[in-house]
Amino acid sequence: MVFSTKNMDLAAPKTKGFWMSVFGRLAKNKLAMTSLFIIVTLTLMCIFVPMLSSVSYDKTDWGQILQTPSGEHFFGTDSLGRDLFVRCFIGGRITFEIAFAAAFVVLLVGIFYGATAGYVGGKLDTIMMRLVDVLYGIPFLFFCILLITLFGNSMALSFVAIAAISWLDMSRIVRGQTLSIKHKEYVEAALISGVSNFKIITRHVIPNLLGVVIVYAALTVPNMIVLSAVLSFFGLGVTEPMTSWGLLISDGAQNMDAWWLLLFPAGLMIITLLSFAFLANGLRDALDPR
Amino acid sequence: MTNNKTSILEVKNLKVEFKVQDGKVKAVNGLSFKIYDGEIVGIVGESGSGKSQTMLAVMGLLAGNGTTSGSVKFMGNELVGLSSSKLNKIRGDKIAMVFQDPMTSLNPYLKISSQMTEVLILHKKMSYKEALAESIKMLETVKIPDAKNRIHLYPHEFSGGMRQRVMIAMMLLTRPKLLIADEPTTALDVTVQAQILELLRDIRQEFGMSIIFITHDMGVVANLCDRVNVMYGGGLMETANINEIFENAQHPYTKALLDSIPSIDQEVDKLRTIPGEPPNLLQLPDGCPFQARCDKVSDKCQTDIPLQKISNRHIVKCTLELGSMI
Amino acid sequence: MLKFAIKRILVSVPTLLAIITLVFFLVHITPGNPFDGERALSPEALKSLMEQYRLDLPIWQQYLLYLNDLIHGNFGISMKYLGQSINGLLFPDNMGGFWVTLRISLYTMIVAVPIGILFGAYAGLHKNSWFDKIVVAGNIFFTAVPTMVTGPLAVLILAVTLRLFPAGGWGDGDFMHLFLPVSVLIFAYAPTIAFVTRGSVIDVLSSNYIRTARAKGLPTKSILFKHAIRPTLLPVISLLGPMFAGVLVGAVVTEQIFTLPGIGVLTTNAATNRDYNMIMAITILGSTLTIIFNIIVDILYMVLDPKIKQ
Repeated sequence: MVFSTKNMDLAAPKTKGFWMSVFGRLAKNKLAMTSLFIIVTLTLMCIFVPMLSSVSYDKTDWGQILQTPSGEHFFGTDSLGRDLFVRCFIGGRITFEIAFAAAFVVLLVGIFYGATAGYVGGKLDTIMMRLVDVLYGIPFLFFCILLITLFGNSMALSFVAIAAISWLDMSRIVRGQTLSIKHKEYVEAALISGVSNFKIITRHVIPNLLGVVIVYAALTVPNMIVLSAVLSFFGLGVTEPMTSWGLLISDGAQNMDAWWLLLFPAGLMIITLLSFAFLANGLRDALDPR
Repeated sequence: MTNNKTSILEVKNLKVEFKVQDGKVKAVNGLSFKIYDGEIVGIVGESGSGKSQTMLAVMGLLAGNGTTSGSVKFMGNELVGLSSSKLNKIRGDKIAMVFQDPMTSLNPYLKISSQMTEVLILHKKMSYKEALAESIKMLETVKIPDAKNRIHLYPHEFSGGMRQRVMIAMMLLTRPKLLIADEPTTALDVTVQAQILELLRDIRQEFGMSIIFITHDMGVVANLCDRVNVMYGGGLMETANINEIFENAQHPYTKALLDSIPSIDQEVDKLRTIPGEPPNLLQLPDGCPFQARCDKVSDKCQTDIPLQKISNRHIVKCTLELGSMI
Repeated sequence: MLKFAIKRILVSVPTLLAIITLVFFLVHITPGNPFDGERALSPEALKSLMEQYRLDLPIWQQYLLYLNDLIHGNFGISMKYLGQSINGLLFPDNMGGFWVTLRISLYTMIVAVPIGILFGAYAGLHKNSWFDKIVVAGNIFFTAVPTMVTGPLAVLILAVTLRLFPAGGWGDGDFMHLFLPVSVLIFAYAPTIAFVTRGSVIDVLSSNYIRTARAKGLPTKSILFKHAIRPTLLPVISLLGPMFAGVLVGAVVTEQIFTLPGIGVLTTNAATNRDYNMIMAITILGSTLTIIFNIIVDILYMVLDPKIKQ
């Protein structure tokens, strides 16, 4: 992707002052702050709209089929007479849940894998990175579909499958950063003076990875949103009557006469994806000013 | 030795500015100097003194956000404001420039032969064959062994010192009247550095061109130059013949620079450095740019600084009473 | 150069073998057999099915036989369309399957690559102009928003509302039917090409060797087309390898949106019917193409970069 983290030199010693200035720079970035605000608002709405709404997301109403948006149904209703506003936000909730959970697993696996390979080095590093190369050769989406068909189509499993193969980039980036941190003078000095490996990893390596990880997290979440949505187009992932943005868009795409069925979930998804893109951009600029 | 010769380059009130996010960087501020036929002039100063930007401005090679004002006359022709197609008839032909970093200044994707011959084909309307023969001859002049075969190699197949020789040869092809060398030896190790300096001296003998040699190293200047311009904060501080500078420097900054040359004759416990930092080019003080670091500073330094003539060729820009500080 | 190419190809054989092995064992070690779901199978029928699919053999024999099949270009038998060969489904005699996907991908790249490079180069040469700002913004938008959102929106606006194009279907592969799906893909990939080209142009033009070329008095034309073009294109070329593979996958998604009869339909059917052999075949086909594209790009890169030549 274009928001590359490759050229960032984030391997310099980080102090409290550094993070203060990062926050300062981020707070000055209007686009990034607006994006953050939108993400937080949408997240809150995904939690509370379905909770507080008088109708349930799966309540069918045969007298209210395919109603255009109105004061009663803000986003209109679908072909089963269900309220699209509520469905959009329950779908958003599922989408965010999958995306955040998958992103969390991706970061965890990626950091652990990359840091181990980079820090231990030698043969282990070669073998581990060779495996990453092999996995890179498999078209991501097909492999994902294969895993889901194998292990059954459930939400939990689909996110495990997504996460299981999305950590490759993360592990490469972390490995690179770890290697460069490992060869910084202050780490070599610590090693020579007998500081334990564990302490070096917790005191120097991990805090210095934080910058990369934060930026990458902001990039991973939208990627996971897209991937889980794409899977809906292949009939995988979340199933009715539960829904997700991908499923709503897929439904909307088959029901073009009712434009609102497509426009609202698609709009929400665009806003979310752009917000994450701008946030990631802002975070990268704040962490690596030039 | 260079007295009574005609000047080939005349820079008058040159200003170079760069627009950046936080305002304007004033890299060169009203600089004036002359270069005479056949002399080697050193331009000395710390990084940020504007010495490289002055020369890039002369060549019309400033980065996209830079603007030049004032006057640069080369052999009577005004260069400032000249269209790049007209400038292209002069640069590379009458004026040539050698850059600091030989590792990146040659195009890594083109063979040396291609990079050299294009100069002659363009400016001297030679055929490729003639141009190739001439290029090989020039490589031999700068002492590249086996030039006949090596000309068909890529830059990465040469060492740093050899690349700088190639660069110099490439710039000499058209026998320019003026060669600008922007720290050509800084990136090289000391023995190679000495060879390149010797090469430049030989070339001047052979081709009779003027050379402007930009450096921050007073020692190199002593070795090579006839005359020195000392620059600081985008302005000229002092100019004099080489012997005059070493024997009778007047400006506190020149003296400080001289004090920072290691010498085998004198026993010193510690090399002197100039305290403080180079000036912030975004916010230059009124008056002398060196005032913040000068040990002879006075109130007068914040006003317009007078040019003081010690002799015809020795000019100092300072408020101090001259001769008083020896 | 031939030596480099052969070496590069040989190096990727183990990678492909590793992928095939991984996929095969993943599928065959997972508990349950694909016919669990089929009700009312008599033990005899099940037995003959198991024999037909070699599932009665020890797993290593199955593996070696599968490898042998693959070497002969045979992807085995579909588990959904019983008895049908996967090759027949993937590579049908008429237009369909892989041919549809390949055609869409090729059209996309044929348009996206030159347009991306031209737009990017122009933007890079005129940094901070309005055109440049559009290229940068377009890149942000289209890398963030995937085809599965832009595709249906394009259908809604251009096909359903304005009725300029058919909403989907292959037709007979004519311009009107292919315009929307291919355009959606072009918009997904050309902005990235443009953005990378733009960055590369800016980098190269501010490089020291371009300054040298200017100092030599060379005219702009020869600076751009002799000195700058190769280094500018190198990062773009290394982008195109993974991108070509990505476009194939993207085409599969786009097929779903525009109901085109390509690999997409086969994938969906395979996924819903647990047709492992088919998914394996598609995954291995995709991996093979990915690896082939990467080899092509590496060789192209080597041709253009003298530093790698030894």
